[in-house]
Formats: sequence, structure tokens, C-alpha cells
Amino acid sequence: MRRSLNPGRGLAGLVRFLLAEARPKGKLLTPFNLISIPVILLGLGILVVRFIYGLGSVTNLSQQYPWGLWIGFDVVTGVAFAGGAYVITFAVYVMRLERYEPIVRATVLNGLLAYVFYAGALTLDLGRPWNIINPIIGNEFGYSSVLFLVSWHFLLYMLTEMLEFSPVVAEWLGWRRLRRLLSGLTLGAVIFGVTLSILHQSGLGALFLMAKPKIHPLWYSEFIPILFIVSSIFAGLSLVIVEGTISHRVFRDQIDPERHASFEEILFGLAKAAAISMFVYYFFQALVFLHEGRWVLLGGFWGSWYLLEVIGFVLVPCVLFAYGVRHRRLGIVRTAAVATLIGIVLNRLNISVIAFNWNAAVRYYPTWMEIVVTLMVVFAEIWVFRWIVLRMPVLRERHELPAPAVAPPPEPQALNRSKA
Amino acid sequence: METYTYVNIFETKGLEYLLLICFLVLFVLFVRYLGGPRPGGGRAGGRRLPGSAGADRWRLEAEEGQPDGVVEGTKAVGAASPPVEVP
Amino acid sequence: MDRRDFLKTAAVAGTALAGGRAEARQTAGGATEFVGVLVDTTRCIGCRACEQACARSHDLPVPVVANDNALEAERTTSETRLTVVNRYQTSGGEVFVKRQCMHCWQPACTAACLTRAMLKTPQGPVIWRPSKCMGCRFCMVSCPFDVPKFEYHEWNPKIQKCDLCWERLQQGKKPACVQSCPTDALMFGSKRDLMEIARVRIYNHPDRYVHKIYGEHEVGGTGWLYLAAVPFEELGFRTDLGVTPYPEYTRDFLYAVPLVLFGMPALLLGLRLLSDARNEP
Repeated sequence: MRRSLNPGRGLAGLVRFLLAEARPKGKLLTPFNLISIPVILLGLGILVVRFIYGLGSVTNLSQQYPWGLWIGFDVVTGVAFAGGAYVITFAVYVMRLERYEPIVRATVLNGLLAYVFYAGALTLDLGRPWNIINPIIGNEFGYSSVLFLVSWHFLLYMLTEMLEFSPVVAEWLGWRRLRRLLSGLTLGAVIFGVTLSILHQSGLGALFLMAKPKIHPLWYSEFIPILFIVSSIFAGLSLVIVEGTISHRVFRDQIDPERHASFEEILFGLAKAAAISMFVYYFFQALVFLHEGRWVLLGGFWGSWYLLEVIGFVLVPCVLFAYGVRHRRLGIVRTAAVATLIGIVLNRLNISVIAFNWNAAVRYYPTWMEIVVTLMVVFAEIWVFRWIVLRMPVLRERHELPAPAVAPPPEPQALNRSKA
Repeated sequence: METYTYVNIFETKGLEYLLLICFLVLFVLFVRYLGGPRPGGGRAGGRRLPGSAGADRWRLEAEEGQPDGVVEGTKAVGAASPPVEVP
Repeated sequence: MDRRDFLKTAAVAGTALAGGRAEARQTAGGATEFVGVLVDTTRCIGCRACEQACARSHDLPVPVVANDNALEAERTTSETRLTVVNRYQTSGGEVFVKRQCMHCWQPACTAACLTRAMLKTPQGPVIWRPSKCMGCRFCMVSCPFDVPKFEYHEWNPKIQKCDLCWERLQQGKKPACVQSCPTDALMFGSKRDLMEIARVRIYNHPDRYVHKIYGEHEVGGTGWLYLAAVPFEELGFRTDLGVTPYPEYTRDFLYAVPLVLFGMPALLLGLRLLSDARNEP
């Protein structure tokens, strides 16, 4: 590889290594940087105003719309997008579909950062963020709250994802023994992580169960948690397809050609899984439609808006995925993935913001400042993602570390050894 | 609450079961469409990497039990047999 | 309806309502009965003395009732007024309705609160505790009556809502609004007593009231009860909220959580072991 990965011995060596790594790599004046740096700076400025003069000074939140773009997009949608991590780790570590092993690290990193940044954006929206530790330290435990569950799961899931990603960091630092130790914990972390994901992905939907009289009946149903968990599967897969496609272009020099070829196969596999989960989801929606007798609601704007979401951005991408997989057309698969992501944004925003208090006299629209802060969060995540990918063995083959006898992926073998 | 008329909370159950039957039929067809025979079946067989024989099995009942490399004969009934023949 | 009339009906009901005793009553089982307020909208004259009394006892800006024309448009409670009186032109003429927190029996806001900052006290009032609250506003999302209000323009915002004068209750006093009401449109007591009085009023004057007590069953029962001469839809009340206590809507999900936490890891481990047998001869 391009550089030595041995940070040297002792603390001084480590510090020298970290300082060297901290230096920016690559060009500074890329189009992405030119757009993202002003947005991030502006966003930080807005946040200063927000923390001095209150949420009302920068947002359009009101007594009728207590949750806006920051919750509806950053948290509710962002967490659905981060669903790829639990799906892929499930496939690779539980089902041993080793074909997907090459994308595990990038996906876990993406999931971890999504939780850190998007769930972290939750703190920006809290009126009294200094009390955020209350439900953790027991001042007090609101066991009856869905949000209590979700917040604990966010915390625990972040920790499990850190654990899942930690072997990469250990590899980066050249800590061989620690890496082996951490790798041994991966399966446990994955199993715990998948369980937590199922609960908090559905929990995000369950948050809206008590908003029954406020959410338009085309979107409210007692099945919201089920719909959220199923849709998080293809939301995550679609994001992996889109993110992977972009990563493979941007970080082309990180990936050796052999892996590049297998990547197409991976994308088709993901698309197939997405198509099937969307097919099931579509019929779940149909079932809810029948169960709630929603056909009487289809007239007017809300009916059309609902059909646009469910048919235009679920059924159509589902068919596109299937077509793309069968005819091996990567372009169509990518289009379907983007359409799916739009559909997820629509669905999550409909429930949390757009069809929330749908008959209110004054509707909520985000201010430009809310949008800037949202973009800031996304850009900041991409910055950190890039920083890590350029330094740690996330995308590239990891033969820097001649681990004795254990070839990647080490985790399944680790388990076998313990069994033998 | 003020009305004392009979309310059947399972009014749509019949329709739901009909939908379920439609779904099961369509699901089998859909999965067969996804994994079904492509032009050049031999190529599709060779496409699979050794050690990833189960890749397509992921959430696919219809392909369950399909021996590695065989694409034709992906019958839904094959889902019942355990894939023990994979070496 | 005058005071003597009321006393008569109270006597008929045979209740132990001693002119509005403030302290909660103990039931035979030793549990404390929840208190509430009965609002008889046929008695309300729209003087808004309750609004002023409320603002004074909560250190909020006191409305100038004489010349603020506040009755012209329908108002909601806000972070600076915990109760409002609205005027409605109805099929039965002009009606005034006081609105505030309903103090539900099983409140959505307290179930929603992840720090128990929203607390259903054993005596009935739902109160908010600043030292717990993190300002997530999930209570606002959950409340079927849209009652909790948030101070959007404060660096250290509070949730504002009627607390049924929790501090006054503990001193043995009645809520400020009830105390200030000149026409006895508001009556404070245990829900059991208030329900009996309300039923007796409807029974004695079947043509004066619609035969419904709003709050008897709504969202599982509320602390505040309303009597009216016209259907409640005409008075700005939502009658589509159902009789299910709102926490019940999340019950199935929350009950399922431990099941998933117990079962799923075992299931996943099983799948892992199965995939082992499949892939490795």
C-alpha cells in the first residue's frame, strides 16, 4: 500500500503517527469542499443564534408543529437510511453471505456516522439539551415512553457499531492483538445490534402511535412500527447502493480492480433483496389500506399525495429494481435506489411533518436556516466519512496486517476456532 | 360511544385474506422473475463464487434448496428440501 | 340556574361536597381519588376572571379583560396563558367555554415523557418538573388536546400548561380559576362527586343540557368535565378522540419490546449456526 501502517512503538510514536494522519490529504479546493465549507460555517453560526435566542429564532416550529425538519428528516429519515448497517451485518455475520463482506466496513462506518450525526442532531432540537443525560442516569427513567426506549437504543446501538468498527481502527493503529480481541466480539455486537435495530427502527414509528388524532388517517395506523421496520430494510439497502456507487467513484484509488468487479455483483444482490423487501412492504401497505378502509379517503390532495408515495415511490422503484436485476442493468438499479430513497423521505416526512396536523390553519414550512443546519449535518458526516476512508482500511484490501493464518473475514473463523 | 349499534371490528378480514392469497401467488411469481432463468443459464451458474452458494438464498424461499450453479428448475416446491447437497 | 338551584340538586344527589373541599378524598381501599373540575358552560358569562386569576397565580401577564377584545376570535392556550375562555355562536345562542389542560386519567403526555418530567400526581393534577425535562416536546406530539406549550423564544425554555394549581392544592386551597369564578360555572372536587352533580343536573333539567358529560369517558376519562346546552362539536371540542386512554396505543409495542430482546438474539444465533452447517462441510 501507499504508506507504512506501522505507527511505531510507544506513545511518542503513536502521537507522531496521529499527527501525520491528521494532516489533510488530497486537494482542498474540490467542488464538494467549496459548497460544504460555507454551509457548515453558516450552520454553526445559526446554531449559536439558536442556543442564545431559542428554537423559535431560527425555526418555524410552533405549538402545533413541535417537530419539524430536524426531527423529521435528520432523525426519523436519517436513521432509516442507516438501516443498511444492520441488514448487511446480518447478511455477512449471521447468514454468512460472504459475498457482501467487501462492503461491510463502509456500511458499518456509514451507519455509525449516521447515528452519531443524525441522532446527534436530536440534541440541537432539544429545548433543554443539558438534561439529555436524565433518562440515562435515572433522573428519571420514563419506562412508559417509547422515546425512552428509542434513546437508550440509540446509545446502545452506537456502542455496538463502534465495537463492530473498532477492528478497523485497531488495524489502522497497528494494534494487532487488540484487533484480534475486538474481532472476536464482532458476532456478539452484530447480534445485539440487529436486535436493537429492529426495536428502534420500529420504535421511531411507534413514537407517532399516540398522535392518532393528528396524523392524517391515510398515514396513521397501528401498524406504523411494522411498516417502519420493513421499510428501513430497503431504505438501508438503497442507501448502500447509492453510497457505494459514489464511494467507488470518489475513492477509486482505494479499491483494487478485482474488488471493483465483484462490486457489481454485490449491487445486484442488494437490489434483489431491496426488491423483495419492497414487494412485501407494498403488500403490507395494501393490507393496512384494506384494514383501515382507506378507500373512502382517496379523493382530494391527500389521496393523491398518498398514492404518489405508495405507488410512485414504492411500487415503481420495486418494479425497477426487479427489472434491473433480471436484465442486469446497473443504471436502472441505481435509479430505483434513488427513487426509493425519495420515497422513504416522503414517507417519514409525511408521518412526522407533512400529514401531521394536516388540517391545521397555519402549516409548517422549514426556514432556510433549518435547511442549512440539516445540510450542515449531512456535510459534516460526509467530511468525517471521507477523513476515515482516506486513512483507515475501510474500502481497500487489508493486507497491510499479516494476521497469522487468519484471512479476512476473520470473524467466522474465530467462531469456528472456539468451537473446535 | 353514544351509539349502541353493532360494530364489527373484523369487517375487512375477508378482504385481507383474499389479499394474502393474491400476495402469496404474486410473491412466488415475483421471486421467480427475479431469480429466474436468464439468457445463458450456464453463465449465470458460473457467476457464483464458491463459498457464496447461499448468497441468493437470502430471503428467497423459492430458491432455497437450489444446488450451487443450477438455475433451471427453480421450482417453488423445492423450497421445502434442505440444501444438504451443497458440498 | 342560580346558586339555590345548585344547592338543591346537590342535596338531591346526596353528595358530600362541602362547598368545594380542596383536599382529595380517600376511598375505602385507601387510594387517593383524583380531583377535577366540573365546568357548566350554561353558567359561564365570559367574564374571564378565571384567566386573570390563573395568570396572577402563575406569574404570567395578566390579561386586561375590559378592552383586549380577546373573545372576538377563538384562541388556544399558549405559553403565556394557561387557560382561555372562548365565545361560540351556537344553535343555542352565545356560549362561553373555558379551556385548559384536561388532566387526563391516563395522560398521553406522562406516558410519552422519557424523564417523567410530566407527572400524574396521585391527587390527579398533571404537573411538569423543570429539573427533569430535556425539552424534546414529545408530550406536545402525544397530547390529544394539544395542551402542553413550549417557550420557543427562550434559551432555557419551559413547557407551560395548567397544573390545576398544584401548589395551592397542597395548601388546601382550590384552584385559582375555581376560586375566582363569580357564577359557580366551575366546581372543584373529586371526580366521583362531580359526576354525580353533573348527572343530577342533566336529570333535573333534561331540556337544558345535552345528555352528555364531556370528559366522562373521553380518552379514558379526564379530570375536567363539561356540561353544555348544545352539542360539543359546536363548542370547539373534538368528539372523535375516542374513549381509549392514549397510552394504550403504545402498549402493544412496549409489551413486545422485551420479547424481541429475549427472543431475537437466540434466533439470530440459531441462524448463524445453521448457516455454518450449510456452508462448511
